[in-house]
Amino acid sequence: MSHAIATNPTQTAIPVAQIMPWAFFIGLLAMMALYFISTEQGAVHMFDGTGVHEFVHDGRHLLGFPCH
Amino acid sequence: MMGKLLVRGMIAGLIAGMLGYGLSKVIGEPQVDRAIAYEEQVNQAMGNMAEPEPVSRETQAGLGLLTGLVTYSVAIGGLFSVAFASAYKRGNSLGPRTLSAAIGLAAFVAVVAAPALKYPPSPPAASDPSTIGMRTAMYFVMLAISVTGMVASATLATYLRGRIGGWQSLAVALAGYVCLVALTQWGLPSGGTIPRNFPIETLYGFRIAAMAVQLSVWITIAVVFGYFASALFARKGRGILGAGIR
Repeated sequence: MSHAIATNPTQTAIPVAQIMPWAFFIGLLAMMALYFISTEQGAVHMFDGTGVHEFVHDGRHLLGFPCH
Repeated sequence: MMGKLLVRGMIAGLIAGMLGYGLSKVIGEPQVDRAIAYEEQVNQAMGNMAEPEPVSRETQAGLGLLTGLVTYSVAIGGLFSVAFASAYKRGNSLGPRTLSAAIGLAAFVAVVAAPALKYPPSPPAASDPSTIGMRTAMYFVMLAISVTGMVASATLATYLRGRIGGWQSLAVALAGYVCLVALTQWGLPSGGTIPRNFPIETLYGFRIAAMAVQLSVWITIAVVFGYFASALFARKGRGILGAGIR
C-alpha cells in the first residue's frame, strides 16, 4: 500500500509551476479589490469625489483600515 | 488542482463574508452609529452645517457594509488558497484541515492582530482626518513587515525542523517573528491622538467588535477551506487509486 500512497498526487506537494500563474492572477485581482475596500478616496484616490469611500465606509472602519 | 483550490478558497471567503456581515450588523453597527452621533454633536457645537451625504446611512450600513465584508473575505479566501497550496506537504506532513487551521491562525496574527496592536481599528470621528496619509502609509508598512516576517518565520521553522525538532524549530521561529514585530512597532510613529471627548465606551466597544468580525472571517475561512480541501483530496485520491484513501 505504501507505493500506492506515494503515487497519489494528493499526498505530495503541488508543483510551483502549477501554483505560479494562479498566484499571479489572484494576487493582482485581490490587490485591486482590497485597494478599493481599504484605501480608495482615503489617503490616495483614483476617482474624484467621496462616493467609493462613503459606500464602503462602515466596512472599512470595521475591518480595521485607517480612515477619518 | 490549484484552480480547484482557488475556487474553494473564494467560496469559503464568500461564506465568511456573509457571516462577517451578519456579525458586523449585530455588534459593529451600534458602535458606528454612536460614533457618528458624537461626530454630529461636535459638528453642531462648532456651528457647522450637516454635510450632504452622497451615500445614505442605510446604504452604508447595508449594501455598502455587505460589499466591503464580502469583497475583503473573497480576496482573502483566494490568497489563502495560494498560501495553502504552497505549504501543503512542503517541509511538513500536516493534513489539509490541520494545515488550513495552522495557516488561518498564523495569517490572523500576521495580517490582523500584529498591525492592530500598533494601529488599532478606530470608529468614525476618532482620528484626525489630516493624518490619514501618514496613518495609511504606516499601517501598510506595519502590515508588510508583519506578513513578510511570518512567511520567513514559517520557512525558518520548516528548515530547522529536521535539525532541532518540531517544537524547538517552532519556538525559535516564533521568537524571531515576535522580536521583529516588537522592534518594528517600537520604531514606527504612533497613530495619533483621539479627541479628548470621544466616548471611551464607544471606542472600546468598536475595537472589540472589529476584532470579533475579523476573527470570525478568518476562522470561517480556515475551517471551511480545510473541509473543502480535505473533501477534494479524498475524491482525487479515490479517483486515482479506485479505493478510499483519505
